[in-house]
Amino acid sequence: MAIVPKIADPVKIRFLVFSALTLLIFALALLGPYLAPNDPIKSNFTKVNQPPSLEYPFGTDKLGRCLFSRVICGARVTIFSSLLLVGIIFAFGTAVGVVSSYVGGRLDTLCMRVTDIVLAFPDMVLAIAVAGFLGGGLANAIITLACVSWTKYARLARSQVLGLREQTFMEAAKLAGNSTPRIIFRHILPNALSPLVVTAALDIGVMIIGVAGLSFLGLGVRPPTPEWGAMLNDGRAYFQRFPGTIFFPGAAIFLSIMVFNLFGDSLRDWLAPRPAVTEPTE
Amino acid sequence: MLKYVYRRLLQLIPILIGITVINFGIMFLSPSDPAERELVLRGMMVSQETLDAMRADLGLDRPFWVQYGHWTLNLLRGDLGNSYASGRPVMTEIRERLPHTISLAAGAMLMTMVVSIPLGLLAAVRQNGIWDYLIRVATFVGGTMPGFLVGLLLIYVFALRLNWQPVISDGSLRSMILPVITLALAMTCKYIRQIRAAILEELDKEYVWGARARGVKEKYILYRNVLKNSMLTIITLVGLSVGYLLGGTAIVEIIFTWPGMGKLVMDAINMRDYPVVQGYVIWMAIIFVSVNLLTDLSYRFLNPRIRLSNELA
Repeated sequence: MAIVPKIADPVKIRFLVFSALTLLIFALALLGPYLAPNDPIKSNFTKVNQPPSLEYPFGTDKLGRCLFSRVICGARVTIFSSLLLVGIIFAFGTAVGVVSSYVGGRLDTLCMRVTDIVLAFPDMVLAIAVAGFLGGGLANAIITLACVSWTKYARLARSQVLGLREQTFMEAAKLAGNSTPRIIFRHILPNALSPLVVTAALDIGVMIIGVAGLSFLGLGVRPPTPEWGAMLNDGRAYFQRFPGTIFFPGAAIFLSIMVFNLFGDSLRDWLAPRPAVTEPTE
Repeated sequence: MLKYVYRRLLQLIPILIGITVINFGIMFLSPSDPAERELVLRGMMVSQETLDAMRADLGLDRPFWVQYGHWTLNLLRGDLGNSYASGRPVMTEIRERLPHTISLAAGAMLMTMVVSIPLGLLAAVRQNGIWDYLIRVATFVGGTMPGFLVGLLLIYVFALRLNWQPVISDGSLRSMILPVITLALAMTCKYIRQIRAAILEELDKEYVWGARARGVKEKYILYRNVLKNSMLTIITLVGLSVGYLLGGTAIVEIIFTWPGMGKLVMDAINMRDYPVVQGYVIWMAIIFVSVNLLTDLSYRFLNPRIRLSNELA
């Protein structure tokens, strides 16, 4: 039986295309170490700063390490730490927002005061300071960025819940004798989730910039681990003569952020969430 | 209006207390021991006795809240302690560096305004035309580039290949061009898109159709009504981007060795010079909070609808 093709929805097609590209990047990042032709960490002082060749498709860096292998393996560090970060701040921020606004009262006031205080620092300023005090390292960079970025989700979740609380079906769910956790998981979260998911998708690129930015400043990933921001920092001293040292990791950062942003945009258009509930000013 | 100002100022108090607690807390929890550092610096022997004596001397043996209170009182007097590295008061160091950072941020803001308002307007007026399309693609690409990448590429093209610009900034107006572009690019792209959206929304309102129907010139509608009403969006954007600007200066200053606060704090972090890091965070937070307050107030002041509903309430 022939299936009658439906008229294609361009928004959905766009979403599918960018989802596929996003998955492709994830796959590349996951398989990076198996795809890399050379060891990304092993230095070879007989082959320093070489131009691209068959053996080294992107050339080598100042320590004779294969740039191609480093870019490919760096994807794993940069992209998965950003994904992990988005997962952490999404879960934590949403939990804080939902619980505090659902419970209300003092807890809500306290949580909002805490977000106010975190928001009183410019993101990157606080991140630099916390990372500076904690010392470098990928784990510390992730903790740092999580500390400064969760507030967005808490506020968004809160405004969603405040909007939902007024709805009749919430009254009904309560009158039907549902327990609080059940109301939160079965009635609030499914209805509040879509703007949060869109924000999370768009945050992948933001977190890549954050992780790479901290590493670029020397506050993130420690050498010799390959990471795109750290690679840019390494290449900074040499790129006048060897532009490949910043060009290839730079292109990798740029392309992956672009794909994630396009994915986030298409997800937003596809879900077309109702215009975000505006936060009450008082 | 005055009542609103008072209320906002009162709301600031818990936030300022929070800022100082967090700032002091981070320092308190940091792994390094200032007493040991001070001993090494003075060339004294590090032993348990000398460490204990130095701790007592510096007040480090007292409980958290006592130390915090002491630190905050000094802060209120404008005393942020001395830098471990140079031995000079942190306030003096910051006073020397702050103007450089502010001029960088102000330059970026100026560039953003000068570029994004006309381009946003152009894209909105020519919606779906070739200009709109070009501007949309360009702003998407520009908005995707992280600042550190933009900075390196600009140096590569304009300083190293074309030799139009110095690689290292010498503080002159000319050497400000690349750092300002680096800082402003992503922001400009965001502004263009937001201004375009705001103007399109405004153009769709009934008063515009009414004015057109009455035969008011399109230019008059655009500049006198639509642009004026979109100003509120622009002010909101300015308030939101100050945080980005202040944080972004750190990366830009490192790339271009610009002698501002960001360079100061990165050097301080590398030397574990914590009083300077604290001073940096405090100053940045205070600037950020003040600018947000001013944006909020000007927003209320400029928008009669909010002002009236607020006064009636």
